[in-house]
Amino acid sequence: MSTVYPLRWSMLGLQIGFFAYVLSLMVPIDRYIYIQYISMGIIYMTMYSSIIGALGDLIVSLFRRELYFYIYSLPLRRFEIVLALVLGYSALELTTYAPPLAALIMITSPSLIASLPLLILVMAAFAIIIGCLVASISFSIGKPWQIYIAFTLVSEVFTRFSTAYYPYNYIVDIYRPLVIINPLSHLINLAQSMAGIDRSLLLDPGLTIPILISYAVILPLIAFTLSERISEGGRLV
Amino acid sequence: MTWRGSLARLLLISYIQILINLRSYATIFNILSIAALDLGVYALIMSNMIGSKYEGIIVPGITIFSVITSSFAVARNIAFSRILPTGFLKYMLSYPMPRIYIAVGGIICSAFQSLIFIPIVSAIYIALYDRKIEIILLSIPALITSIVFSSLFIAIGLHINNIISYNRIMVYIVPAMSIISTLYYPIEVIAKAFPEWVVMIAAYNPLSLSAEIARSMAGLLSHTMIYDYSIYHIYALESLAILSSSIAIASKRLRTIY
Repeated sequence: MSTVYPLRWSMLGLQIGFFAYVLSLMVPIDRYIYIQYISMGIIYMTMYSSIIGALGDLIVSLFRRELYFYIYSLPLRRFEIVLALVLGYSALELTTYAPPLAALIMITSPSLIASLPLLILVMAAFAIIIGCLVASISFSIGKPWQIYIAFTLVSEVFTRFSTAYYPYNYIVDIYRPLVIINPLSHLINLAQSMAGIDRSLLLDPGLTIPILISYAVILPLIAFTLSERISEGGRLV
Repeated sequence: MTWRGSLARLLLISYIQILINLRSYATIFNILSIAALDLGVYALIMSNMIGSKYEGIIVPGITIFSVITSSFAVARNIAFSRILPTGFLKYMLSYPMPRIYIAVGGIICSAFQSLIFIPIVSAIYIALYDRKIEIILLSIPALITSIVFSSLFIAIGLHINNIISYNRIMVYIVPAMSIISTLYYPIEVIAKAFPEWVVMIAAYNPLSLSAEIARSMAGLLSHTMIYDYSIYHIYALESLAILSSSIAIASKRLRTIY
C-alpha cells in the first residue's frame, strides 16, 4: 500500500478530530450535529481537491508528447481514452476516501451501516462528475498554465461557494444563488441526507435532484465532445 | 569587500530573484485569488455564523497563511531551480559573492512578494467589513513570518532532491501545523476542547504566535488569557532561532551544492 493512503487518512483525522471539533464549539448548532455535518464536507472536499490535482495533472500531460504519447497509438476513440481516465481515477479516489467515509458512518450513525453501499455509490458518482468537470475545463482551454489557473479558481470557488463547511441558512444572501447552482453543494447534501444529518440544515431535495441530473448529463457530454479536439500529437485542434 | 559593496551585491541578487519570481505569475495569481476567496467568502460566512467577533480571528489568520503559502512558492523556485537545465541558481552560483547572499536574497525576495498581499487583504477587509484596520501594523508580523518561513523552506528545499517530496510539506505538514494553531480559532476554544499539552503545542506553534501578534498589532483583538506581553519575547526568540539556523543550514548546503 502506498504511503499516501495513511498520510491522507491521518490528515482527514486531524481535520475532523481537531479543526471540525474546535469549530463545533463555536458555531450556534448542536456540537454533535455540526461535527457530523462538517465531517462529510471535509471528506468530500478533500476528495474533490485530490481529483482536480491528480486528474488535472494527467490531462495536462496528455497535451504534451511525453509519457502518454503511446496512448494515442491505441485503437481507441479520444472520448474512450478520457472516459477510461475519468473512471480509473474515480476508482482510485474511491479506494482512498471510501474507508474514511465508512469509518465516519460506523462512528456517528451505526444504525445507517446498511446504507453504506449506497453512500459509496454516491461517492463514485461524485468522483465521476468531478472528473468530467476537470476534463471539460482542460479540453476547453488547452494551454497548461491557463489550465492550472482555471483549476485553482474552479477548485477554490466551488469549495467556498458550497455548503461543505456551513449550512445554507447561514450563507449570506448575495452568495446564495452561486451556492444553489454549485454541483458540490447538491452532491454533498445528498450524501449528508443519506447519512442521517438533520434535514433542516440541508438544501431542498426538490432542487437537488434536477440540478444533479442536469450536471450528470451536461458535464460528460462537454468532456467527451471536447476530447475529440486532441490531435495526433497531443495538442488541441 | 566593503560594506557598501556587500550591500550592493545583496541588493542586486535580491532584485534578480524578485524579477525571476514575478515571472511565476500563475502561482502569484493563484495565491492571491485563494486569499481573496478565503477573506471574501469563507471568513464572511463563518463570521455570519459564529458572530462578528470571529472576523478579528480569521482575517489575520488567513493573511498569515497566505504569506506562508507565498514563502513556500518563492523557496521552491529558488531551491529547485538547481535541478532544471535552465535553472537560475546555476548562474547565481557563478557570481563573485559569498553563497550566503543567495539564501538571504531569496528571503528578501519572499518578503517583497508578501508585501503584495497586504494592500489586497486590507482592501478586502475594509470593503467587506467596513472597519478600519491598522495596515502598517498588520504588515510587520506578516513580513517577519515571510522572512522566517521562507528561510526555513529554502533550507529544507535545498536538502530535498525531489520536488514531489517538497510539495508534500505544503500538502501535509503546513496544513497540519495550521490546524493545530490559532489561525482559525482562539486559544480559549482549543483550551476548552483539549488537554494542557495540546494547548501548549497550539499556543507556541510559530503560526499561532504570528497570528496572535498580527491580531494584537492590527487592533483586532486584545491579548487572550494564555498569551500576555511575553508573547513578543517568545515570538522574537522563536523567529531568530528558526531564521539563524535556516540561513546557516542553507549556506552550508549552497557551498557544497556543485
